Amino acid sequence: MSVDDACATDARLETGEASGPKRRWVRRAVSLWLLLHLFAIVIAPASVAPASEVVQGACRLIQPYLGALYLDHGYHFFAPEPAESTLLAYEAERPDGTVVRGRIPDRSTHPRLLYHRYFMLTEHTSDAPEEVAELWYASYAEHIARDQGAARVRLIEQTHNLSTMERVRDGGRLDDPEGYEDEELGVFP
Amino acid sequence: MRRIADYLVAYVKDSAQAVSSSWDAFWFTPADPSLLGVLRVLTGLMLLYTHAVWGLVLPEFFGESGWLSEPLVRSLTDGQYNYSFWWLVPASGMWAAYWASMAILALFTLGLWTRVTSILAFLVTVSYIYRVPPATFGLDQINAMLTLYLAIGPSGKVLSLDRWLAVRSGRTPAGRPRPLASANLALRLINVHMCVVYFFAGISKLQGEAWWNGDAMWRAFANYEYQSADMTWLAWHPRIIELMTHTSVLWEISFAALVWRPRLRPIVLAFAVALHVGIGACLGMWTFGLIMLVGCASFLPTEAIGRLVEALVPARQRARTASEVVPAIASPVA
Repeated sequence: MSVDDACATDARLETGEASGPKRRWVRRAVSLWLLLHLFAIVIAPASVAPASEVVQGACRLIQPYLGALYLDHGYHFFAPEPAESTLLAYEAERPDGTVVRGRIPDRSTHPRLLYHRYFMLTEHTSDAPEEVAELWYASYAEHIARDQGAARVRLIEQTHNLSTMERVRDGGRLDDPEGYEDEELGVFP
Repeated sequence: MRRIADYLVAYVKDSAQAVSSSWDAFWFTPADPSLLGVLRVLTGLMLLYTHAVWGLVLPEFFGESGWLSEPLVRSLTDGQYNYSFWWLVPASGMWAAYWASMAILALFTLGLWTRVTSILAFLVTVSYIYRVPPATFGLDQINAMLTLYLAIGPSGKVLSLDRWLAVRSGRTPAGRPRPLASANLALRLINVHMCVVYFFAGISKLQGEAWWNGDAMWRAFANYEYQSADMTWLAWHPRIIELMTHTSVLWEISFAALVWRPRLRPIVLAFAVALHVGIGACLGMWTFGLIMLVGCASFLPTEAIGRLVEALVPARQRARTASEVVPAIASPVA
């Protein structure tokens, strides 16, 4: 019996298409699932740090459901506040000694959604868990090496600080070179 | 003492009955599935676009030597109950898997075998996301959320090849489809989920100083990597920045409370259009802005959408079946 049968009109009940007790049980079962689901979609964003141990524990309890349905999200868009960007600069050295330099994301990438995919690749490295950071950089370096035919790849994380209003009023530009801070990630392999 | 106990029992019983009947009315009142059909088409088009863009760089993200190696993704998602069919696809089958995915998404958008293709579309969407989690963002979250609810509800009942074939074969009368509780259930789930999204998007901002001192919108506009329209002229108009900052937070937090009020709903949704078109135009996130608006469209009146969809049916077909039109259709958003 479907939800529609369970909520059938009286006329349909009279024809025996949906029987009373069965109908009630379907509704109760759907209602129970709804309670679980509502709990899940609220507890997932509520468990983003800083969150209490109670909320985090509740979220862990329902993690299999959240994970299976891809509902485990914080929805913290531009929160706690819009932050500086994280970019990835690289120097790929080919066997013949030539060096190819680049930066991800490249603003000339089209369509815009593709640009955002690359941007997310670098943005997410800023909150990389320490235990997988090396694996993460190595994965990027390996791809760049294959793509550029390079033997060695040097990675540099660039933080692009945000310009203030005062700075822009004084003639500064959003892409002024002094807005970038470099941090060496290493040479791979 | 006994009278107080009786009163308390009666109070609890009455309250439980009131909550139960309100719950049933909210979730199970049959509704016209037309709006769900419209949302299926719009979500399907976004899914097609999203995955078409993946197709431009498929080996880079889903191939053997992609940006995100299998050990890395496995480490990032360890113990999170994730799954992706991509782990089962050999390198030689990459393009076959891709085109099969696109075919499923196309069938879902067209509404052919929707009961099955909607579930498959959800599995496809989540499989792509779980193969490349660090390359995903809000667009993917909303894509998957909408597809999940469209798979739960009868999203293929209207504006679909399923319906066209059913009417053509005489299995279903033409004209307005009959109201369905499952259509209401799916629309309500989208409604409630959108409220959760905006509420947490709003309250999470309260942790940030820039959302209090009014600087936050400037920080968004001043982000060169997001910038798609030059808004630096606003540096000379800080009061406008502050007003935009405070309005955004206030709107996000109050959305869950105000969107249910029929008189306020058009205003709340108009703000949604302004905000998301602004995000698209200024920060270059058109796809995210548009899919959020698709979610917001779940609050449109089902009755009006039903009439609009009916108007799309060829006049000849409507005239032939006018007597079969279902007269009363409940609105899920009263």
